Amino acid sequence: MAVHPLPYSDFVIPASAAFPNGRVASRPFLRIALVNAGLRLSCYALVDSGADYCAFPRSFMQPVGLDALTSPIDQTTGVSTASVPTHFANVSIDLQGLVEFPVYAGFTVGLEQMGLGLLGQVGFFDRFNISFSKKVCYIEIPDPHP
Amino acid sequence: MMLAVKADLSKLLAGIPKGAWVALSQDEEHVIAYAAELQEVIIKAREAGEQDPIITRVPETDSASLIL
Repeated sequence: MAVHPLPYSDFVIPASAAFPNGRVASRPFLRIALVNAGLRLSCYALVDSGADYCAFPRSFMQPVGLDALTSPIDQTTGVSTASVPTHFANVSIDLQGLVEFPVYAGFTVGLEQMGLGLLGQVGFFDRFNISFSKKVCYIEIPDPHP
Repeated sequence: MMLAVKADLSKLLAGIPKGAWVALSQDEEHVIAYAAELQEVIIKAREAGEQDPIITRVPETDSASLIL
């Protein structure tokens, strides 16, 4: 078992009425790739313990050969969105060449504007031991050949 | 050490229209292509020689707090 530290990434957020001096947001983003049927799409994903499932923008389906028209739908919601239809499909996640694992992931228009994925409870937190320290996320990944 | 987002991408994405899909080089040092549609930016990146670009998107708003 190897523990891989993931330092949070700092994002400079411009000033707003609520934060007139701007601010820095620290977020546990990492690089992943969606893999299916020999196709691959590299993207960023947020380690998000509050997400029930792993989820991605719906437009990520086509580049990895998934068909929204034949994928089952569930309704999902976030803080700022009304309930939106989310297509679910089996896909694999390549975690930087360390491990590739299958997930039943959602693909939703609710993530289109952000253009990133969420690594949530089913498929990620239930597969790996994840812990958080200040500005570092630790991910335990089993040895491929124990 | 796992690969996080390499740095604040806002400087790299400055000047690209809001809402555009962006293809970054694997080292996250260069914007390979951008376009309004995801499929278009993937095609542009591959034509430019990057077979596995990192796909992201320029936020629609400057102040983008994430509460998910």
